[in-house]
This record gives sequence, C-alpha cells and structure tokens, in this order.
Amino acid sequence: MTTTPHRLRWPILMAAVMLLSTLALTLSVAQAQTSLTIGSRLEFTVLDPHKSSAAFDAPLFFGIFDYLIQRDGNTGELYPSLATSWSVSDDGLVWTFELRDDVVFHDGTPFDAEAAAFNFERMVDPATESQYARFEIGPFAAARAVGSHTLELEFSSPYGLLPSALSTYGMGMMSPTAVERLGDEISWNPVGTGPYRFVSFTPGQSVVIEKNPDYAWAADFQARSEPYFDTITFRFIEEDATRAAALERGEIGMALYLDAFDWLDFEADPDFETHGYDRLGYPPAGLFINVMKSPTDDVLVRRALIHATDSELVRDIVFEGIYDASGGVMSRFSFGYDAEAGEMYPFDPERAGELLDEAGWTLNTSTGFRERNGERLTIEYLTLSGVANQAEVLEAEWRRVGIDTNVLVQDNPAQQNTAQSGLHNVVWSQWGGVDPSALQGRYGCENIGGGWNFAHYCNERVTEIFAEARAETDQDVRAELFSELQQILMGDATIVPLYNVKILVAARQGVDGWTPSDATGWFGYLLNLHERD
Amino acid sequence: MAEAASATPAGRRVARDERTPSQIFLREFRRNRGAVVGTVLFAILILMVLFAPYVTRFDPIEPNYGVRFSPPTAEHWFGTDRNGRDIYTRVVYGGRISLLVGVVAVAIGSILGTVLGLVSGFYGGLVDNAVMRFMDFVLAMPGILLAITIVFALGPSLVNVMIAVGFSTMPQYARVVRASVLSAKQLPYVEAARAAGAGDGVVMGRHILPNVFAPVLVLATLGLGSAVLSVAALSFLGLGAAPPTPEWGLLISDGRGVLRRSWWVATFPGLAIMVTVLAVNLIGDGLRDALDPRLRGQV
Repeated sequence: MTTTPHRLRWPILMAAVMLLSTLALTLSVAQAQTSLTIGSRLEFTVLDPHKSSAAFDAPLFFGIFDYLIQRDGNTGELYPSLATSWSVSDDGLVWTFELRDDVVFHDGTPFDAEAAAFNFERMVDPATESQYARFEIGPFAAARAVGSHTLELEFSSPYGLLPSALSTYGMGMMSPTAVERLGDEISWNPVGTGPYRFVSFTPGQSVVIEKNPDYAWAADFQARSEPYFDTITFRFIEEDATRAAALERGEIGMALYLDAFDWLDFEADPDFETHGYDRLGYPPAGLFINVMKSPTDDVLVRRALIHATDSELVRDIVFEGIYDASGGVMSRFSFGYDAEAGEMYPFDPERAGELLDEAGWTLNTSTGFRERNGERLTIEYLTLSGVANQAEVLEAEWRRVGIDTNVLVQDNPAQQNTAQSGLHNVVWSQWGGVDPSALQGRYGCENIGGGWNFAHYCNERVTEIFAEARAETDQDVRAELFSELQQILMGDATIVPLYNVKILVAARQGVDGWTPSDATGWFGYLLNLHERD
Repeated sequence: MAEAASATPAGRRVARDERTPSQIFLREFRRNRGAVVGTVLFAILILMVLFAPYVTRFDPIEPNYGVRFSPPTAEHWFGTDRNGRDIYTRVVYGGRISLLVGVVAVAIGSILGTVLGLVSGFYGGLVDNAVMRFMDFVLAMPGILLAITIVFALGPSLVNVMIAVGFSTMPQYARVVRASVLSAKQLPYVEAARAAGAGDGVVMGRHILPNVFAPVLVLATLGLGSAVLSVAALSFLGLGAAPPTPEWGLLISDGRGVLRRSWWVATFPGLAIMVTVLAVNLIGDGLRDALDPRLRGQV
C-alpha cells in the first residue's frame, strides 16, 4: 500500500516529460543519420593492412585506406588513385610515382612523398612482421621522396608486377604521425586517408567506422565521389545460416559471403536485393593431387581422377549452379588464362576407366572397386569442414569408376599441417592472388612441406617460368609464360578443378553500389555503398 | 483354524524368501513404468538398427539427385537431404554407428574405471592415493573438453572418439567402485575367504567384484546416454565420423547450414538422439531403483 506523496508527483511527471522529449529528440536525430550494418564471417585479425595476411580483413581496409593505385574489380583495369601517374626506368629497377597534393590523413597530417615512403619502409621493416604486404612488394630495395609529391621505389631486380601489387589490400597508406604517436596501438586504431574513419573496435563483435567529411580525392573510375553512410558497422557472425537469419530479421542491412541456398532465397524476396560476382583474377577451388604419394604418383591415375570428376554436378548440388566452372589452375577470367589447358580433361568416366586399366588398376566386379596386385585403389581425401559436402558428391562419382575414397575432415590450421605432411592423395584448397604468378605459392618447389604446395610438385621449367614472369614487364610475354605454365601443370594433372568461387552478398532493398575491389576478391569499395531514394 | 490361519502367512513368507535376487529385481523393475517404457523404446531402436536393411529400402550413402531437399512425404518419411538421400534411412543406419560407438566408449570407461577403482580400494595406501589423485585430475576437467583435447591429439576418427569418451568417463566408475570396495572388503565373507587362504586376485575378482557390480551397471546404463551425446557432439564438431558415413552428430551438422530452409534435415537425427538418451536414462533410473535396497519399497 505505498502511494507517492503529493509533493513528489510534479517533479516525477516533469522528469518523465523531459525523459520522453530527450528520447524523441535522440530518435529523430538517429533517423537523420544514415547507417548500415554489414554482417561479415570472421572477426578481423588486425586493423593494420601492413600486418594483415587475412583476406577477411580486407573489407575494412578499402574503407579506411586509400591506395596509390586502385583496381576496378568489374574490368580488372588499374586506375590512378593517390598516385596520378607512374613510370619505370629502362633497367626496370626504379619506379617513379607522381602523387596527389590535395590529400589529408584523418588526423590532419598531409599526404606527401615522405609519408608514402614511410609506409613502404614500414612494410619491409622486420619489426612490422608483415607477411602479405611484404610478399606483394616483392624485391623492394628502397623508397625515396625525390620531390614533395614525387616518390621513387627502387627494386633489387625488375618487378613488373608492381602496379598490380600496389592495388592489393596490404598496400594501404597509413598516417606516419599516427604511427609514431600510437606505436603498436596503431594496429588497432587505424588512421588512413580513406572515405571512412575508424571509430571503435569491440573484440569478438564489431568494428564501427564513420564518414570522412573531408574526402574529396576519390579515384575517377569510382561510381561515387564521396561516402554516403554516416556510420558503417561491421558485425562478425561466423555461421552462414545465422548471418542470413540476421539479415532476414533486419538486425543487419547487408550480409557478406552467403551460402548459395540462402542467397537464392533473398534473390526471390522483394524485400532484399542480391549481388554476386565471380572472383576476378582469383584462382579457383579444387583438389590438389599429391604427385608423390601412391597411387596418385602415377600420372595416369591423376588424369583418370580428373576425367572421373563431374565438377558441374558439384556446382549444381553444393552451390545450386550459381558458381562458375574453373579453368584448371586458374579462373577463366584471369589474366593469362589458357583455355586449352583449362579444358584438357572433360568429364568422361569411360576415359577414366581406360586410363586406370592402362595403369594396371583392374575392376574387381565382386567389390565394385579396382585393384592392382590385391591392393584396392584408394584415394585419401583431405578437406575442410565447411566444404565436406563436396567430398560426398565426389566420393559417389569416383565410386562409379571403381575408386574407393577415404575422407578426412579437418579445420584450419590442422588441415594445412596435414596437407603439408603429404599423407593424402588429394587436398581441397582454394587460394588467392591478383596475378597468375601467385601460383608460385602452390607449385614452387620451396613451398613443399612448409608452404602451400599441397601437390608436392617440383618442376625445373616451372621454377624458371615463375622467375621470368616476376621480372618481365611486357604483359604479352607474361601471358605466354603463363600459358606454358598452365600447359605443364595441367599436363601433369596436378589438380582436380572444381569451381570458381562467387562472392554472394545480399542486402535490404535499397542498399546499392556494391562494387568489387577484387584485390583479394573478398570485398568492394565502401565508398560506393549508398541507399537508393 | 488357528493353525490354518498361522500357516498361510508363514507359507507366504517362505515363498517370498525363496525368490532369487533376480526375481526380486525383475519385479521391482517392472513396477517402474518409466523403466518399462524406456526398455521398450530401446528394444525397438536396437531392432531397427540391427535390421536396418529390412526397415528401409533406400541406401544411406548413394545420392539420388532427383529428390533433393524433399520435405517429409509418404515416400520419404523424414524427407531427404542436399544429395537426395533418405533421412529416415540415414538415421537408422546412423544409429548403428552412434550406438556402437557409445557402447564401446562406455565399455572402455567402465572396464578401465572398475579395474582402477578395485585396485585402489583394495590395496589402499600409496596405490590408492596415486590412482585417485590421477582420477581427480581427470575429473577436474569438463568431460567433453577433455574428449575434444584427446581426439585433437590422436586425430579425428571414430576409434579415437571411443577412446576419448571412454577415458573421460573413467573416473566416475573408479570412484564408485572404490567406495563400494572399501565397504565390501570389511564384510565377513571377505574375511572368510581370506581365512580360507584366498589370494588377492581371487578375493578381488571372485568375492568383491560381483558385489560392486550393481552400481557399475547403473552408472554404465546412465553413462550410455551421455556417451551417445558426446559422440554426436564430437562428430558434429568434425572430430568423429567422416562423410559420407551416416552418424547422428554428422547428420545434424549437415542439416545445420540449411536449417532455415529445410528443417527436417537436422531435426530428425536430433530427435533420434533425444529418444535414445531418454530411453537409456529411463532404464538407468529403473535399474538404480530396482538394485538399491534402500529405495526398494518406497512409493
């Protein structure tokens, strides 16, 4: 039986009115603000492009940072961005860049040749512990400011790949004063020149960025000249189905990297819009065939394995036919793609059977499996847990030509370690790189055991091609080299090509402007995102 | 009259006393309705799993791409999955693996635990201390976490899952057995056996072990439920069975990604696990009540 004394009622009422009006005011302000929440799969490993080696971090970098050169993911063309023009010396060792003179970092520091040189020196500084940026910058020797806005980059050997490399996600330009002021903290408080500024990072949950109101130096090819959203929030939702559900409920405005099924649902739903694009220049997903381990040490068995694989069925069953076919060791959209090599082994189970007969593996009609000297033809198949359902389709396919398959499912990094040990015949993998020379990571002799050469393949001519293609600046000559490379790699049947990954994105109706940056294939330029009227 | 009146109860009492322990057990067990339901359920499960090829006409592994993601129909009772395989068939065949792995895991845990508990309780002293502190150490870690760690160390496979789950449940058996041994070894019949010249092995194996058997049986039955769950959890995490093997945990993991669209893929394997664990737990409760003299007669 408690009642409020009379003299207390008025103040309470007034407080309530004030509270309500404040609330209403905040709400109206919030409505005037435009914001977008993007659901991404994995938490960013670090907010520092020079230190990151995870493509999943890249979406953020293309919002906070600008690059000397940017790539239009739709066409693959390179365009001037912070650098307005560039040239290379006759010996191919020194590159000269003219830089924009109207660019300012988020902390007010002007962007000039000194600042750019600082960035390149930081990438190669052992203290930075850079992996990806260090790899992309190649045989880097020194960076010099030769004028207030003229930058020289010197290399120890000719590096024809540089313009393409400068557009990759590791090459973002950071504020040198912020790096000096913040020390190691800079890796979690990024300061760049990009269309969005860093606001906050909540580990395990989200990253918030806000509009850079001073942004007036968008590259010419970009669809928009200034950022649209006042704030953009990245939320990390690992499970594909959960991310789709969050979009459906309106908790997020955009979902990246969706499962094909969920994506098709959104495509059919008028409340949502979908974007999907093939990862340009990104080599495809497939099964690397171990050339050292029996029975796949026999090239006939390897060829039979590819002939026995109906990769179209995999794409239909697992990805609802949305993904495109891969072209052997490269995506069919990549620079230097050789169609002859890419289509060397059409799906042909009969041919597979003939090859296996030739290799001495004869069908035991009572078991349905092939045998040689009493030993069953067994393929040890190593895969990742997210893509294990592909193994089920392939196991059934291969069984039809008499191949027995043992599947081992692991998560990373265990899968990588197991693949390096070479105990398996085929290893599922997909990998990245904006230029075919990235294939060195997968087929370079030095990458057997410790690296990503899961085929355990080493070839003298292939080694030469990698070296020549790295130094060559003439793109036509490079394309010929890569053709030869693909002919060798596919002739030796080092991979079962499966599909080319498509990035599947869905958003609430009206969110538009998703343009691929392609540097890794994982994300587009945040600059172009906007809400249609 | 008086003689007759007194003869009847006396006769009845004699008859009751002549019942064997197993008859008493059966009567007590049958009284427990839950235990009977559990037994019937479990029997049906076992029969279905044993005669899997006769209760379904589909193949658990062969894909049938013509009927992908069919909802439950008269043809496919539990629907079909991404590859057009019949979920009912996969659940039935999956039961073979899940139950077998669960039973073997329990066997490993209970045999190891019983032997260690027996030795520990019987000898006491330093042996007891060493064994039981090790058991405490194992017990201090959450069972599923320990199992995950062991499978990670040994590599993912069903055999390793059996070992891991068995090992992580071992301390429970060791503790229960040790406690029973401590009281059993004080009893006169043990002294009698000793006086008759029986050695340690004979006393432990022939005289003490049968008398600590009841609690182990109860614990093992209840443990089977949690073992089936643990096995499914490990497979769900990708540490147990490998595709295309139909295993309950793996089936749920398969269906998880398409839950929004095709609920039946993950739901029916989940129900199978639920029914199994429920049945086993009901049996376990019934066993405990029937075997424990202190609970007997209570309503």
